[in-house]
Amino acid sequence: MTATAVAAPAHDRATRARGPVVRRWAAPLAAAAVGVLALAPFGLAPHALGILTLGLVYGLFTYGLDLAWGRVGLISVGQAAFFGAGAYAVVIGTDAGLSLPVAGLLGVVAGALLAALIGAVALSVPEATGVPLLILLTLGASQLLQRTATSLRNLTGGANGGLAPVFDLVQGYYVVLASCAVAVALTAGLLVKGRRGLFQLTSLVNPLRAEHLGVDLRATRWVAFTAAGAVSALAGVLFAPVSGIVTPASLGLALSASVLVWLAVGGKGSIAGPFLGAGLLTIGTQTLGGTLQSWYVLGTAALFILVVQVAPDGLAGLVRRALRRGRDVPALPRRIRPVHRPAAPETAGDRVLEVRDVEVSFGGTPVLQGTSLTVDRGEVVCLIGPNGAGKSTLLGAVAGTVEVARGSVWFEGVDVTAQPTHRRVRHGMARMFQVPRVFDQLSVADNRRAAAVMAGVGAEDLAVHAGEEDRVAGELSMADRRHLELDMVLTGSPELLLLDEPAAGLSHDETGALAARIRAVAAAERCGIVVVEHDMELVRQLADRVVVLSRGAVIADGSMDEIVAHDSVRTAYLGVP
Amino acid sequence: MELALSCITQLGLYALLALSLALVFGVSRIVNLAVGDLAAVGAYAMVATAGLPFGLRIVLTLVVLAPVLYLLERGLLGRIRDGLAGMLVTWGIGLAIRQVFEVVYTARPRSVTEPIAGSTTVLGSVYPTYRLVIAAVGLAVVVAVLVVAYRTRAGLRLRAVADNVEMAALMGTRPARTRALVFAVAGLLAVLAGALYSPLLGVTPAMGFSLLIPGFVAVLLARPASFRGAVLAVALVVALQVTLRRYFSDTVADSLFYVVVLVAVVVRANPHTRRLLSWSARPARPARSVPA
Amino acid sequence: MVRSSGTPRAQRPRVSGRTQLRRALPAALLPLSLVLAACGSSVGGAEEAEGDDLKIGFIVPATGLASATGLAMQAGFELAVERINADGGVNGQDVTYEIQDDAGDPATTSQIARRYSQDNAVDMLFGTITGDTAAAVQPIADEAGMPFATAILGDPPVCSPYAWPFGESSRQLLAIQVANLMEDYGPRIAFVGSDYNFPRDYAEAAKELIEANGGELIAEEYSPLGTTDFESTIGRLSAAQPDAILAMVVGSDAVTFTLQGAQFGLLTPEMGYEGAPLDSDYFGAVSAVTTGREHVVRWADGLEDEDSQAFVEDYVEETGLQVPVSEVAANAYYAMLFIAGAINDSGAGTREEINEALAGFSFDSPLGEGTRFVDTEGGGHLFQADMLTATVTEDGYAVAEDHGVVDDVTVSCQ
Repeated sequence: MTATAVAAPAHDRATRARGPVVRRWAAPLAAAAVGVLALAPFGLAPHALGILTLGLVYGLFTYGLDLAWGRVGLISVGQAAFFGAGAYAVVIGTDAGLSLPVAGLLGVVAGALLAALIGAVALSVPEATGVPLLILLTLGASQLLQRTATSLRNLTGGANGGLAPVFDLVQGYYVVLASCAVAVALTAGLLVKGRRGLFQLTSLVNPLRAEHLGVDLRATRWVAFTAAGAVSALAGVLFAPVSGIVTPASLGLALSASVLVWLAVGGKGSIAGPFLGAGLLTIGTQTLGGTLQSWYVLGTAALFILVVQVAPDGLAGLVRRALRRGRDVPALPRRIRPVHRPAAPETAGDRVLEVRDVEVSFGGTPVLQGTSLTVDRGEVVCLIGPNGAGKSTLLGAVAGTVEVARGSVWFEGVDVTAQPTHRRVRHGMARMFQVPRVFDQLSVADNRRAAAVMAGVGAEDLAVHAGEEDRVAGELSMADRRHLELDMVLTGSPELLLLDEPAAGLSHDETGALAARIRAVAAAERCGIVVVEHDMELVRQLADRVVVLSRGAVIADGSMDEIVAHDSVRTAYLGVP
Repeated sequence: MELALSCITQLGLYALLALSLALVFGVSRIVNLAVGDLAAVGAYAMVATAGLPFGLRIVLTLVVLAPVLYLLERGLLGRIRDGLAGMLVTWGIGLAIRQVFEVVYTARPRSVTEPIAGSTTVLGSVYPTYRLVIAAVGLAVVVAVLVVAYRTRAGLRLRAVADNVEMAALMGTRPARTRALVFAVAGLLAVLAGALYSPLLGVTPAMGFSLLIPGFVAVLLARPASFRGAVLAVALVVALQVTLRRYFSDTVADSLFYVVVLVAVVVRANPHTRRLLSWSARPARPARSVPA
Repeated sequence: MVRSSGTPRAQRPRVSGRTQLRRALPAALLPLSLVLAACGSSVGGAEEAEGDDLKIGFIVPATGLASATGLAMQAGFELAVERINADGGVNGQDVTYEIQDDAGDPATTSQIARRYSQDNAVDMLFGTITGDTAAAVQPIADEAGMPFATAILGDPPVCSPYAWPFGESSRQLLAIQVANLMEDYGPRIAFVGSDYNFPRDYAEAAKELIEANGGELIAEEYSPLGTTDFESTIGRLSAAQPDAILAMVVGSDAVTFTLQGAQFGLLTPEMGYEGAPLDSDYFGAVSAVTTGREHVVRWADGLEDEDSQAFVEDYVEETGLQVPVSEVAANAYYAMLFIAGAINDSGAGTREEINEALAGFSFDSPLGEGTRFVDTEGGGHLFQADMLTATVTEDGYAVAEDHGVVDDVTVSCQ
């Protein structure tokens, strides 16, 4: 593994336990919280226990939303659709003679299916259209379900709502508490910890880099969104017997807005945050709201406006900052099993990459017009051409981020034209970007860990340099970030390395050092390298072969000297015939 | 013909609101959940100033509220970059507006007398004159804002901030000031919408909530930084809503509206179906299968 | 009078689905209350209230959509308690009460109701405006054996021996509304309503009564609550060429529909118009359209008897609001006087005793001579009091005719 030490910060802020402070405290704190909650029925008056139960139900609902929004950044403004689906499943199910657990199970399944369907549709499209689509779909689904629940009076009781079997107070409290504990433990174990936790955190922090380390963005998000739907539905299932009545408001926009507010007050991306936000505001409404009335509403309005000025990451963020002495750096989960990397196919020969007659167009404008390119093992190919020639687009087509209209891309002897990016990466394709893409919000050490896990190496015996645990990657200099990115993409010993203007923003000396490193990599790793570059001096240092692209077509292919002598290149570059 | 007039009337209202949402979202990436409540502010301003000439009341309202909105942004939203936090603040602002009106005016609906009574015959259809006037005013203001946004230097600065904040800052604009100005202008659009349309509506503290959906849907349908797109989208949304209501009962139309919008966006967004619709040749890359 | 602005009451198809869990509640609460008592916490069991003093748990949407109606009800209720206590209270002791705001949210309502039901001192429940919140209270009241009084008009959502709806039923209103409209305007009636249970049940009853009177319900239109554009609805209503329009659109929609109906030339003086938009809640907002029209009510501030006028005076002084006074305020006021009278008369102390006292009591008030509850099908109650036709004037509601008691005791609850 190649690793270049990132200069340790001059003023070493290393207090060894920054990340782990919360980890050290998390387990005892959680145990204490559950312990206190488990004893609540022995110290609280019945009505207070009822309010606490409702607070827990709403907390679980908020936690469900956080699984999508806080963990993978998927925005849902109609989360009540899932909550209401669960609640109505209990009303309709028990009315049809099912037992409460069976009806509840159906409710959770219904919520999960609905979320799975919405997620599948919204995530099947590019991100730019996918996010608004997800918002529209969740909003539309909740509105449609609400209308349906209002109209189908025989089934749902219409606007007056349907009755559900009611929990005995104490038994109900423990059922809710146990359900919350199980749901949190399950989702935390399956989604937040371990490998999926790494998938989620990396795709939240920098989706493009995550994808180019081999994370399946779509699957990661889809799983998270489905889980969010299931957990929200479970909250709805519990709500029905706690409240005793389920009305169309359980599906409505107002509840969806409330849950957003609870999450924002509590704080995204944590377990305690959603429960704190929802719990405190619910208890407040139920106790103070009843008597203070208007003043309470005005007070909450002021709270919402002011809380973000003091605690932009909510209450949980405030606590985290306090525990970590002012810094709030998300940390990767520990002890992650490395991802399995498929072995290179036997059939692969010396040819690493072959692009055949690829055509790409953006909105009807052709960008690549029948472009072809080959790269052999250990060969450095430089791609040059005037601005707008399609160089970066060609890299995108190779990596799978640009959709190819015609032609094919062969990697290691396999047609990968239809393969998503992450799969190409897992087969040994690596890419660096013009602006270095690292996980800016994570520590340098976690950046390396993520790369190691995704490369199938494992983070256990990763050599972490002094200071890298405490240094956030976003604070590094341009050159350091570029080297970090190169370290990361090289972790998996790639077969093909794609570099987009690696010298951009580097000084002369830094460029020289980088060039030397790239040559060394090509020689040592025997991988093919494609470099898009404008700096002719760097091209001369690097290139075994130079390919000239103009207006989406290859106009010359050969050694640097051959290219320089080429007529059409001079025409393309200098405009002289 | 009534259908067209009906569309135009509704468009005048919702184009103002959608443009308001789109402007704020464009420059701050904040979904202004208080946009409907700002419209309620406009409507209550008309209730409070009843007796004065209508035009004067509107001008007065806008003049008084402009600095308030500017300071509101500088004070409460200026430092917020996170979308959820922004939503929380605007939700809080909306909640405060609703509750203050509830305390001052109670939840009893109020009404505003229209300054122009009577009807006009347009191409054979008799239509209330006031509706035609406010639709014209509303649309004229929307067009004026779009012209400023796309044809002037100030507009260029605005769109620069909308497209790329860092870049705009490097180019010498002051994004913070631009954002506050845009929030004030956008807020005034919503206030104007509420004031103009108040004679058509029962004015209640919660009225803003029912005005939110069409503009919100339109902004989601458009590209984030595209103000023109948002106005175009709202025109489609309003046309769909009004047409459905014409041919179906309101309840059915309301549900169908969501069905049509959802199907349309899914079809439009999916590369597979999009290609089918454009009669193009085989897809070069099959749609990715749903991960399990 | 008031029809509430949220999602009022109506038919509730079923009350089944209750399980043994609920029956086990008191049993499970007993050991719990022992534990809690040992801990020194304040504890309430579901046992009967002790002593014969009266404490009422009042539930009101004091904030949110239905708050105007809710606060009117609260003011009427509080004035009544003041008067009762000034006159010596109930069973020789002052009536006490606790007020909780449910903001019109049924989940909050049921928490509040449960809390009251677990409080030994609370003898009965009073309040709620919208049907969904009333439906949330009823099963809790039933289980605790606690009387639950409401003051809003319309059929109660749930029929129950513990439900005491002091508001007029749909049919008590409709019998006279339909007769008035057909007599004054003609037999072709069109209906427009907000889309939820109450207006749909209302339309169903209206259709029956219109047809029984030889008329025809020629159009039925529903719009979701919060509709801002009634143009197409108005177009369809116009196309049906009705003689009169019966409207059950509520909240801001009542005003929006009325304003737009007038702007589009539907609601001309020649067109009959009756229903929720003529209620006092919307009096100032739609007076241009409604002044001079007839409106059916149970109580109007134009009633000239001494008691009503004293109440109006106190109400205006207390709330600072101008006339007309909401009908729901008067309903709550006279309901509370009725309750106090019933308890004083029988000396009732426990929840169950109060429930029995309400059933057998008869009371003279501006609402009528000998107002009382009769049983309905489905095991509920219906309040029998006089119905009035009032004329909407510039100053309020002037009583034009007293129709006496409407005999129809059919209600839509189950």
